[in-house]
Amino acid sequence: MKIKYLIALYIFLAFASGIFAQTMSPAVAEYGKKANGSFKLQNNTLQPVAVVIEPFSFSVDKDGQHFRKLDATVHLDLSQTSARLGPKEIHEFSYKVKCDVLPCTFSLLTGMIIGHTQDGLAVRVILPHVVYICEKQKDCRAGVLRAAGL
Amino acid sequence: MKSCLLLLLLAAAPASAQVLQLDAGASTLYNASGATATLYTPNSTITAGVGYSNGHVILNASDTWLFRGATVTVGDKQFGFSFDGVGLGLAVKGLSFTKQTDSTTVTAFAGLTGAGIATPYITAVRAQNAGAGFFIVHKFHGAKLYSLEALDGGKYTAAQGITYQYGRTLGLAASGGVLNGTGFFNGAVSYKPAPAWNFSAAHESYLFPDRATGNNAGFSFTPAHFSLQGSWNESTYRGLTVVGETIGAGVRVGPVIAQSNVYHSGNKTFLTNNVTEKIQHLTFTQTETYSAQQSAWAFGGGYTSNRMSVSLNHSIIFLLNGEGFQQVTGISVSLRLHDTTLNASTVTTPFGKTLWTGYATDYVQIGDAVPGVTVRSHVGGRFIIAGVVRDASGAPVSGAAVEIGKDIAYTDAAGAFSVRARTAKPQALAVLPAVFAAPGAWVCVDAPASVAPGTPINIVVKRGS
Repeated sequence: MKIKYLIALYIFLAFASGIFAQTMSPAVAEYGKKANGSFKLQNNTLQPVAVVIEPFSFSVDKDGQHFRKLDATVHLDLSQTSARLGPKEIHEFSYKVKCDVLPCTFSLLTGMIIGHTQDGLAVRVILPHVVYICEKQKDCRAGVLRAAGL
Repeated sequence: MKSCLLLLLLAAAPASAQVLQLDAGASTLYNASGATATLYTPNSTITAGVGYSNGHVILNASDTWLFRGATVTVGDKQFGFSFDGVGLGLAVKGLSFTKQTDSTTVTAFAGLTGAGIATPYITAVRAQNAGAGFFIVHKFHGAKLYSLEALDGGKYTAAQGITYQYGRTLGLAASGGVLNGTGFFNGAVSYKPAPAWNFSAAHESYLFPDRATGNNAGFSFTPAHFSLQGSWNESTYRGLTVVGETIGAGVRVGPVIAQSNVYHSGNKTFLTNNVTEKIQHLTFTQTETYSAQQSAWAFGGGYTSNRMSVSLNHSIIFLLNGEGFQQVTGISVSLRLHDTTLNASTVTTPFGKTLWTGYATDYVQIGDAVPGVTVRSHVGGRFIIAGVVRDASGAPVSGAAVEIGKDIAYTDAAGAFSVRARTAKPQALAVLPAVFAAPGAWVCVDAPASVAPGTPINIVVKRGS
């Protein structure tokens, strides 16, 4: 009888699986002239996660993506530049952007460090939220890539 | 017992929350079986457990949450206070809290105390007496002061201690008082003239009901692949003095570690030789113990990976049940499948009885399709409070945590942080070294107590504890 209960307990436990990663959505966002957007970060761990968001402008060519300091022509208002996400928390960050020059492209790099270590290395996971802003939202990203010869 | 376990699991399933940790197991080693459910929510941790131990049903329930920077627990909690070789373990059913600042940590409790039952799958308190107490640790200029006052039933503890560390070279410790009704005094010194050398000496006295004293001195020399250590110990109890010496040496060559030690006390001498080989996930050990012209051998091996660990230990021990030397085998297995960990192990007592423990742990995501609480932040608040965190040399500190009002901000690569505020009123500021994302121990050197939007904030921190 005991074995039956243990088997039932194991089946109950084994099928209740979780996800082990931090996730960002959406990874890419396209906007027309007016860009009021948001993205969600999900902490799938059981420990608090420190998050720091740093914006960078970037350009693309055949050699890949090249980051630089955020252009002065990009006026970005972020709801938060950093946060502490609780276990399993989903945190939605909002932003408002106005670009003097279109198209404009920038990336919000979210660096996440799990917990605090007294000795050893802190491992930082960086997930980008990439923003493309054009005159018209439709095919904005494709247009930027096409203009870069990609 | 079985019906309680099923009831616990069924009741937990439909709960609307975030993460549920389930532990269940049984053991003849702990002489206890039971199950515990722990619910992790953004603001609190709730635990409930039921089990059976030594002919009694045991229950465990607690709720832990943060209140104005203090961790508050109502229900069952087990404490371990220790400093300078002095330790006091307490199992409490009642109210407790811990508040920590950069320099001081205060823990206090009040409620019913008694025997604690601690297994990997259930912890509980068998309430027997009324008790209360507090433990304070205060750090200043390389020194730590400890103060422990507790009343556990009829036993009183009032112990004070101090430790002082001068760089990495010299360490001093002293403590004294009454521990569970027994008077004591301890003192210790350690001296490290070079990274590979360490010398230490200590004295401990327990004053009543029977006087017992102990003295020891030792050294160790540990260059890169070699180690040499020795110690001298003396104890006096009820007029009887016993002296013992030990000396040993070890060497590490690639994956092989060899260690030999000689123990001498009175007319008894033990020699132990131990060889350990570590090859990727595999570990093998061989031990020979030589005493009174008789050798005893032990062999062991294990495999460890992220998903599984297995160890098998075979040894010859002298049983006290009249069977003399017998071969015994101990097995330990741990297996991880998805979010479930299964553990099983056996151990043989000196009386020849083989005891076993088996338990499982699982983390279950429950509630709606959304696994966790969603927090939304909006571009609101026209005031911005911003600043920079630097170390004493002026270099920016990335990953520093600063609490402004109710918000926690982290510094970026340039050491800068910012939060939005809806009013221009000043807000309280606190540096939180315990939750720095930057690795290592940090302390705050200089920071304003309150800040207002538009005023540049400069915070200085340094490494240290």
